[in-house]
Amino acid sequence: MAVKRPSPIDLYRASPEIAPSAQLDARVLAAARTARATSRRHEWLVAGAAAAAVAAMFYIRIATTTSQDFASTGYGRDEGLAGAWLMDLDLQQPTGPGSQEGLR
Amino acid sequence: MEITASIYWLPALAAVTPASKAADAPHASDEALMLCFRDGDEPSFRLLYQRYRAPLMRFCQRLTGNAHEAEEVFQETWIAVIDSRARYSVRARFVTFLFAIAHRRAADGWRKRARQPVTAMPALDHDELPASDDCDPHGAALANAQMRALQAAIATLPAEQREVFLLRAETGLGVREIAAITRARPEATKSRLRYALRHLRKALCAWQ
Repeated sequence: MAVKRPSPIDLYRASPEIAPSAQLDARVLAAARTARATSRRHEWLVAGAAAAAVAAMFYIRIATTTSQDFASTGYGRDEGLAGAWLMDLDLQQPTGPGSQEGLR
Repeated sequence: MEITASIYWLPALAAVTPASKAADAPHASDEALMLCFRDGDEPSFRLLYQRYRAPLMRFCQRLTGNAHEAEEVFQETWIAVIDSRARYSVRARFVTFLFAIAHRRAADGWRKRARQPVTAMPALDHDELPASDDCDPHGAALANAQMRALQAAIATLPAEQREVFLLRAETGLGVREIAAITRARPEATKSRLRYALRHLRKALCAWQ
């Protein structure tokens, strides 16, 4: 009875595994950890930069806005003028119906 | 219950759906683990690394024939996997992705050194040989001799044939996938594998 010969592939797979050294394992796993930390830091940096950009845009908008940007409606202007006129008015001078008649 | 049942109806989708936690999915597919790692789950990477560290190291060692160079290719391959995680999507099996990177790194190394991979294999220590389970010293000696002969024969293969054989033996990938990794035509890949196997069988004849 013929003995079945193992194929080169089967023989190769039965050969001993070659494990990387502990230092190499540590280097690769540390790289994975560092990459994650860097990625998180990067996310925070992007978020911070976006927030700073929004704040800067808001500040610039406020700082460059002047009163001239608001439409002048004139509301209250007449009332202000009326106040000044009233202050200048000679209140001692009798007014009204009969005042002239009394002086006579 | 309903959600679990619905997942059973979609096995293909469930296979590549990222698990929420690697610790909960030790049997998750490689692709699902890689997606988890892409999404920030570092323990998933540990599981992947655990699965492929030894096969990849043996592949690098047999491909380069040099322990130092193999370590370099091995480390660069994993660093490339880590660096490219953000762009990772399931277009092929993870093993194809991993060994394609290893192939490119090894090729880069050869180009850098402006030479072909060395053909001399490092001597195999007696400690490296597997301990035989049976109590037959003659059988154990024969098995060791066969493995030595195989490794010596692999070392004498032309670089392209050696790479195709190693990819086939180490990963179980098909000819088309190996062709995609080595960027060769499937017909050429098939021929290389056939020649490599013929050469190795011939070399092992004396031990059988």
